[in-house]
Amino acid sequence: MTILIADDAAFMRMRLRKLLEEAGYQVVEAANGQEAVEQYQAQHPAAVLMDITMPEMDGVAATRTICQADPKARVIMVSALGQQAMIVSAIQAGAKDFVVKPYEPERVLGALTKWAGPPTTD
Amino acid sequence: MRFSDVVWESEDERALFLEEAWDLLAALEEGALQPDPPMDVMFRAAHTLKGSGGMLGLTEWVDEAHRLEDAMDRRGKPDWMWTSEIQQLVLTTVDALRAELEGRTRDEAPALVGWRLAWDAGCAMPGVRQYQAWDAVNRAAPGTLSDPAPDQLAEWTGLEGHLWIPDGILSESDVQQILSGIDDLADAERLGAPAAAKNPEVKDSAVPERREGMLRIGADTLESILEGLGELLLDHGQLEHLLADRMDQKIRSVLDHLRRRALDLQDVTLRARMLPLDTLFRQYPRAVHDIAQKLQKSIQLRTSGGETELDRVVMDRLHEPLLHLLRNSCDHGIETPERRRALGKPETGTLQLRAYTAQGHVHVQLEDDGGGIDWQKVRRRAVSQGWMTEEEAGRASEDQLAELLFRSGVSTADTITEISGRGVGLDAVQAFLDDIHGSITVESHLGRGTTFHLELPMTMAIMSALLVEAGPWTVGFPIAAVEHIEDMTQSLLGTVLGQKAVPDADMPMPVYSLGELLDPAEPHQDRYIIRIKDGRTQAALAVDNVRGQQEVVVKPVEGLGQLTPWLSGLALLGDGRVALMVDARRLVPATSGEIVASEEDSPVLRPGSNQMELLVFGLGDGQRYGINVYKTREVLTASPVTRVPGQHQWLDGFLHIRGQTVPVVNLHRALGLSDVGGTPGFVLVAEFNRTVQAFPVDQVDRMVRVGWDEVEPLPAVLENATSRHLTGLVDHPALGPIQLIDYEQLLAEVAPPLFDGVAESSQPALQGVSVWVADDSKVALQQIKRVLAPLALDVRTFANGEDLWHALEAGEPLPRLVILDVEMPRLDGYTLASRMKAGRNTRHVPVLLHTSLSGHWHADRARQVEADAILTKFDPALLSETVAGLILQPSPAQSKTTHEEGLA
Repeated sequence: MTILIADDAAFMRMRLRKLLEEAGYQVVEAANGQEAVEQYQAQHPAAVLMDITMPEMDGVAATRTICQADPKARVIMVSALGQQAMIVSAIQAGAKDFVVKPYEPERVLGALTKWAGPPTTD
Repeated sequence: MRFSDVVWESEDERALFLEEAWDLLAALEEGALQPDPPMDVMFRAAHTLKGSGGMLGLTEWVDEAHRLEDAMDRRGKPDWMWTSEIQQLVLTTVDALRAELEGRTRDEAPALVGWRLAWDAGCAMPGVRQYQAWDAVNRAAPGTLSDPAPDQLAEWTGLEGHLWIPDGILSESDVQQILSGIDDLADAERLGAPAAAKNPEVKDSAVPERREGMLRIGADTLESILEGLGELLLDHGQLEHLLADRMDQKIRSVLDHLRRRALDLQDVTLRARMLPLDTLFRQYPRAVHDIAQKLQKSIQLRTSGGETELDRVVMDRLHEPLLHLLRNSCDHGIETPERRRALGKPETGTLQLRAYTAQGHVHVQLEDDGGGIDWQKVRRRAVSQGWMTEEEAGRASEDQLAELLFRSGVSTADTITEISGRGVGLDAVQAFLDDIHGSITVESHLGRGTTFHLELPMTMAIMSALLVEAGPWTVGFPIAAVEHIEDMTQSLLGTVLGQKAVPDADMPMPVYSLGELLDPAEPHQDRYIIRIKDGRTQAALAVDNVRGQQEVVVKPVEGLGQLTPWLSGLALLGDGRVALMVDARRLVPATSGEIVASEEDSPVLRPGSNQMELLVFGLGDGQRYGINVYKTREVLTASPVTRVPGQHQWLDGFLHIRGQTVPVVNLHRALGLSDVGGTPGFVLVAEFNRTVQAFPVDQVDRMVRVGWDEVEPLPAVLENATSRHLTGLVDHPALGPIQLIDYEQLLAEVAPPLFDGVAESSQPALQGVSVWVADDSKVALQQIKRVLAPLALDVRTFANGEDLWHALEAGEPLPRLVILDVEMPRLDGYTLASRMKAGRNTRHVPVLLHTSLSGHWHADRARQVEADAILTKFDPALLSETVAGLILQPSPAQSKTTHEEGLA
């Protein structure tokens, strides 16, 4: 099962990739919103972990584009505290859920399991 | 036929029917909830409802009303009794008939079912969760409302939200099913009566209140009238400005009239926003009944003072916290019927909700006759949660513990619930009160009940404000938060570690320049100091000018909340200018007003740090003199003194300061500096030895912090007029030598203390008992010896703390008691006491701190260093009594508690 990680911080992507791969997911990455949209269309991942603040196209706009094209898309926002307003916009745009940075691993995996299923059921 | 199908002859007819039916239903409900229901009234109400319904051909309605009438008909039934079955029938019928009435409005606003959603305390963004919940439910049942509204959820951070779901689409389990998909949901509860007044849309449209000469006006209409009036006043200000050079008598009088009328109208409109509290209270008997039933308890609610008026805005916001307190009292205050019976209480618990107006505030009290709060358990919890040390918890007053409950935050709520049940969400109640500048206190007696007392401002829109100027701005503070205003030139301003500060009762208070805080780039003058105490924030703000107190209309600021959290609103002033209403709690730097117990950088001295703050001044002889800041009250500019014949040669006379006659002691003459010919420009007002006295000084320099170990006792060779009255010398690295004056000795010479009332005691147990006394003032040592003489103790004196410490260390037989002055060179009393209490042998020797410094704060500090008692100089009778008491106490531990209590 493939998960798309969209985050402009390479470090965050690395940490998330490690966590997800250890849990048994496959991972693809995007470094900004535009890339996220392209990767989504190319790979059709089971879920997206979407950062909010990114260059080119921010996470909320990327979510909107992805969800318009695929209303079933499972986009989970990864955000810092204090971005509540952005999260609400993202959910209006079609995001399913959110986890707060700095994230607890169980929270991220819990959200993925909830929306995309556990890694084994491909 | 249903109510919604009725064809009305006129709108008036419909309105009249509705108004009457609503009143009758309310009477039935209220009656049914009373211990002794007014059966005649209720029977007539049911009868009238049946009759009116029949006129309209409402068949089901008539059936329901008839059943009710029948159940309450006592005629020919000698055995008839009011039972809980009948009560339940009344309540369900009332609900059913209300639902019928609301059915009429289904086309504009369908009947809605309320759900209360409680979000986890640890939930990161409750606003998002509430949005998700609304979104999910709204997809299944379009027309679902969220409270707070969806467009407000981006900012919302509450922990309890509501959904209003159109009736008849989803079952209760459907809703539960949908909500189970949302994370962080702690609890979802369907609210009892679907048509309670909590659903304003429904009630507002269904019940036009139209009484004789009365007209119901929407709150938003009033709001726009107020806004319009505000703009009129602004226009007036502008006109006045434009016409300034053409102003004549006629224009002036028209302008004045315009302004006066606009202000009057504003006043009237504001008054129209006031509503009687009954509007709120009326809902609670039913709510309490429902809660009690759920808890299987028997609880009645009595209300009084419902005619008290309160601003609608405050009232709207009061509902939730008050409901919360009610729920709390039902759940955790009132015991179960079995338990109450066992305790010999009536099985039915009573809640009393009272309201009244006093001192410009509305007071609301909620009293229960339940189990009360077990403060001991709260203490234990406070310790186990790490909020307090065991010692602090033991000392903490009920007020302090209550504050803890109110402030402790949600994360601790469940643990508090276990022990006394008073913790859940009380911090939310506190937050509401903080927000509206209200307050809450709690009084509780174990086994007898608890009373919550809320104090609320009558209105939010109009506020009594102190207006000041800072730079280009006019700024307003709620008058309730303003403690004191003083002229900067008259206040004792110093610098405590780089931060400007003024002395205050407890500790130096940091001074911030308001102009500087608002915009450092704007020029400002800082001529006055306002002391603010608002909640926990205490600060002194320097401002350019004080304009005075004024009633102002405060308009909240939309959309700027994030940028300027300290701006609580804008006030339009009578002259057309705008004042910034400032929330001082959010403006002053966060650390101020908190006791920071850190090391050297701490703005507050810690006891046992062997340090003091000195106020440095000059007497015109080129030397520097110092006085402990904690001895000083204020510094004033010199003013003429009143002379009295026959006074002591050092006494200049008396000054009248803040209603007190204060002796003025001339330091120049006392120190033999008369020939210096100084010109005192200031008067230093000092408080010690339980009295206030003033000393004229030439210049006031600054405050410095020095260690007592830097204070050198004067060499004995220097025995001249000046040195006789000095206790020590500090060589300050920046200022050079600073001489410390023995103020107590000066005072003793001017006004010798009276030694009356010292009982001649002949306690044989005291005879020859060894007592050590350390005091750097020779006079003080003599006085103590004299007071203790009748006790026949073996008194040994030391000229400072260090000498006494050396004697203890030298392994001499330990004394049975030590009496320590607080201010002493080399080693101060606090530090010596804490050293003794840390020593293996010396810890058992009782320590009596004997200080000239006044104030409860010193009692606190004495406890911090574990002194056994503290006395303020100089009360001979009390001293002798305390000394005897400390020696005769059977064990040190016991003597300690006794004396601490005696101090509190």
